[in-house]
Amino acid sequence: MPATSRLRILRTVRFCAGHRYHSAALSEEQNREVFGACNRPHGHGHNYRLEVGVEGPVDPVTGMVINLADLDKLLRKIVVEKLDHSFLNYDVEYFADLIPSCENLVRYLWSVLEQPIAELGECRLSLIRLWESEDLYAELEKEPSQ
Amino acid sequence: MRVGRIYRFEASHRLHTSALAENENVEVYGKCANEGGHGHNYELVLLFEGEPDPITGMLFDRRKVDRRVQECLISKVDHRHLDDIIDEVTTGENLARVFKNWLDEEFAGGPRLVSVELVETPRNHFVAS
Repeated sequence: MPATSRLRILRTVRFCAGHRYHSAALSEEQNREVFGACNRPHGHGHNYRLEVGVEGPVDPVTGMVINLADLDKLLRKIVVEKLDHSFLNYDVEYFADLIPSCENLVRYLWSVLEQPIAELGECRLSLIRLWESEDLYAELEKEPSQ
Repeated sequence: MRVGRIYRFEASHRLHTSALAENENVEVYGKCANEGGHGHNYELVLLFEGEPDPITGMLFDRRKVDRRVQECLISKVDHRHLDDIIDEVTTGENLARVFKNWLDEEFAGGPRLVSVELVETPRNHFVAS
C-alpha cells in the first residue's frame, strides 16, 4: 500500500457559451466605460475549459478516488447539458442579476457541483479552475484534508 | 478566489557568466552558452488573489491590468536580448524572480499578486511566489 492514501484527480470538460458584461447598478455609459467590448448589446462567447479537482482516499480494491464514468455522467448533466450553447445571462437563473464573469462562473460551478460530487462517495470537490480563453482563468480551491 | 492572466513575449538570451571560465560555462550551460545566443516564445502566468467586485463580478479590470503589465514588463522585454536588460544570468529562475520584483512594485497597491510563473518552453516552468 503506497504511503499516500488520499489524492486529487483532475477531470476536464469543455462547453461553449455566450455572455455579456452589463450591470443594472451602472448607467449605460458607465457600463461601456467599465466593460468595453464585453458590454456590446448582443454579447460574445467563449470555448470554456473547466478543470474539476476531486480529492479523496484511493479505494484499495478499485484503485480509484472516484469512478470517472460516474463523474463524467454528473459533469455532462450539470455542466455540459445546462451550459453548452447557452447564453449565460438569460439561460442560467443564477445570473439573472449577476454578471457571468469568469469569477462568478467559478462560484456558480462550485455551488452546483459540491453536493453531487460529495454524494458519489468519500470524495469531495477540491478545485474548480475555469479557463475562459488561453489568456485567462479563475479558480477556487479547497485545502486537502489531512 | 484566484485569477490567472497569461501574457506572452518573444526574446533572446544566452546563459553565460563571467564568474566562470569559458570551458566551465560550456560545461554548466551546454548549448545555452552558444556565443550568438538563442530565443524563446515566453509565457508569463500572473496569479492574483482576492474577492471579485460585487458590481463588476471581476477581481480586477483586465484591460487596466493588461495595460500596466504591457508597460512595466512586456514593452521592456519583447523582441529584446534579455542579457542587455537584466543584470544576472538570464536563467528561467532569475527571470522569474526579476519579473516578480518588477510586478510586485507595480501592483503594490493591488490587485494582490501571489505568484509569477515563467514558461520558457512547454517543458520548463519557473514559479516565483
